[in-house]
Amino acid sequence: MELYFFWGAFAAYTVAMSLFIGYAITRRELLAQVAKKGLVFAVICHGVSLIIRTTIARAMPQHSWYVPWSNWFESFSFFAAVIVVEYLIIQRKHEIPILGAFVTPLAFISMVVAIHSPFGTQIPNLPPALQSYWMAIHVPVMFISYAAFANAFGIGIAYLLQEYQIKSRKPSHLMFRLPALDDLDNMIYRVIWTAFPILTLGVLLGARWAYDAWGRYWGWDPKETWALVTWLTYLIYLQMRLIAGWRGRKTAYLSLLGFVVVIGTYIGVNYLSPLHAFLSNGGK
Amino acid sequence: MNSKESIMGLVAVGLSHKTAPVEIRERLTIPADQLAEALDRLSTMKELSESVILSTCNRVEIYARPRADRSRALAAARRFFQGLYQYPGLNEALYHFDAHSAVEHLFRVAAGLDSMVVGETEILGQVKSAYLTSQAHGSTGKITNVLFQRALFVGKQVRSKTFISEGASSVGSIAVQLAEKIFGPLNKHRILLLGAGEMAEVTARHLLSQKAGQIVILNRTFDRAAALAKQLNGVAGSMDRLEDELLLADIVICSTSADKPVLSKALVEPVMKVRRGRSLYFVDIAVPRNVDPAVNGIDNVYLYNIDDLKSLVEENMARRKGEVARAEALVTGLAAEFYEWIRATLEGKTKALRHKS
Repeated sequence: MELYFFWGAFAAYTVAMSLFIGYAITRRELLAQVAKKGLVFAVICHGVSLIIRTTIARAMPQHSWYVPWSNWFESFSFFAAVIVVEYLIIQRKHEIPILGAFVTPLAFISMVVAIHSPFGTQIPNLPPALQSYWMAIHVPVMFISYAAFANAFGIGIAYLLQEYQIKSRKPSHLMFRLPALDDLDNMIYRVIWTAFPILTLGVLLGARWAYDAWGRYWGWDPKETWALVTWLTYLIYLQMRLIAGWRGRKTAYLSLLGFVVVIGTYIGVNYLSPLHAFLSNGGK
Repeated sequence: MNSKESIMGLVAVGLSHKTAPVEIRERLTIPADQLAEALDRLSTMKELSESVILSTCNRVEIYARPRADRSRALAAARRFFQGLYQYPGLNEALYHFDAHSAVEHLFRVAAGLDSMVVGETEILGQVKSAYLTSQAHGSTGKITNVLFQRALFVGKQVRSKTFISEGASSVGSIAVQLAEKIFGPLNKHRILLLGAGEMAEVTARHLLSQKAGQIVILNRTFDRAAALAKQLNGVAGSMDRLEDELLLADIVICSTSADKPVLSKALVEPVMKVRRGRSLYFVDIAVPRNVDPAVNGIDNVYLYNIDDLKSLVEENMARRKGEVARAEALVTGLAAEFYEWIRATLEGKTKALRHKS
């Protein structure tokens, strides 16, 4: 039943993304207006599907701690929703719908990855380590920061495209549709500046959970090490921008690199860390 | 039937940049403060009733309704021009349109299709003020009122439905558009003019119309800089302040007559270090160029020279020209519709004009 809403959300994300890209190409205001509404509709659908799923799962005795981000399918689906919610917040502040063409594809890809989960879309049986209230605290905090970095990545791509256009001295028509370089640069900075403390909090909460679960705060498990690498990458971004006076292209590249590290931490490390292999259902 | 046909007529007589050189146009142009007098003179002509004078630097035109006979009205309008300035070629320079073609001509003018720079938007404002002046003077009537309001509607419609007014059409305005794509709103940004040439002044004025912040002018001879600074409400200085000003400026417009680049990579690179990566935009309109092209290779520095800007303008103009056929078709359709409306109104029928299409 909740899957109907999930598929509804997926369809609406797909439509909204196509409309945003259509808007970027044709600059028809109407497309952007419909795309924004479609995106809001998609997130509502998605939210409803998550609520129903949680309600169903919690009715089962073994799932009293269930939260709808417990396995591959659920976590990518949830990630997509958070990316879009954060995009909508940015959109409310800046009203630059063309950025939707750069951010919604990331949510779309996350949904596709969710759908192609090698472990199916059913409600999982959680390994004991995940049956904890920390699951409801640590994971969403991480996702909020990761999704913000996804938004910074999308805006970073827009920045680099715009920078290339202007530097080339032969800008195409796209240049007039993309926002100003300084505005994009500031947006990336503000998103990362906001997300960094959240990431820090998420890592600290993770350490606290690790203490509860495994009896130590930090064990240089690959996931922990990579989380630290992510944290350091964004720390370097902020330090370069604030102290070394880097701006523009170099910092935009750093914001892209940061998100690549996020993806590595999020997915890749599952195959390296026996303790954190939750996505691949191996976590014990 | 025939008498009715002549009553419903509309005539347009005039000359434009297409038929008369500037030496003639400037003698015929009717300044705003003399329009009332000219309209008075038109109203004394018994062949004409309602009339509007459209006088810009590129055209002088009269739109009027014949009181009785169309050909006599046309002759009267021509006489009006001869009264303004007599010269041998005047008759050849004057064109005339009547009835349906007069409507179509006005719509084309309002749409910018008859302008020197295709699709320019200034003409729409000029048509509006020509109409309002005539209306305030009491020279317009039932037909001309609706005709001119319709022309303004058509002018807007054509610009929004086609790309005929898309993209900057001058070096100054494209330079400003680029600035806005680097910095965003320009209200807090500082402009540095190197050299006080005419082009620099034009570009600076474009920037000021976008409410750019402070303006500083450096010139080899201080007096020139000071004179321009006074006009543009800026600050003048001499060239030895160059490096200090580069630290503060956001937009640098170069137009000095130096025969070697004034700004080299070796000069700008350390400046960018001190600026901590704050974007710097050079508009080099000097020939020979004032800025070494290698400067564009520095991060967060953007350099456009006169040829870069010109080729962007040409691209825009080519795109505009590509839209002319579509715009013409739109104008033709709207003119035919309007003409039907005049005909119906004069025959006492009511017919609605569409305001959306």
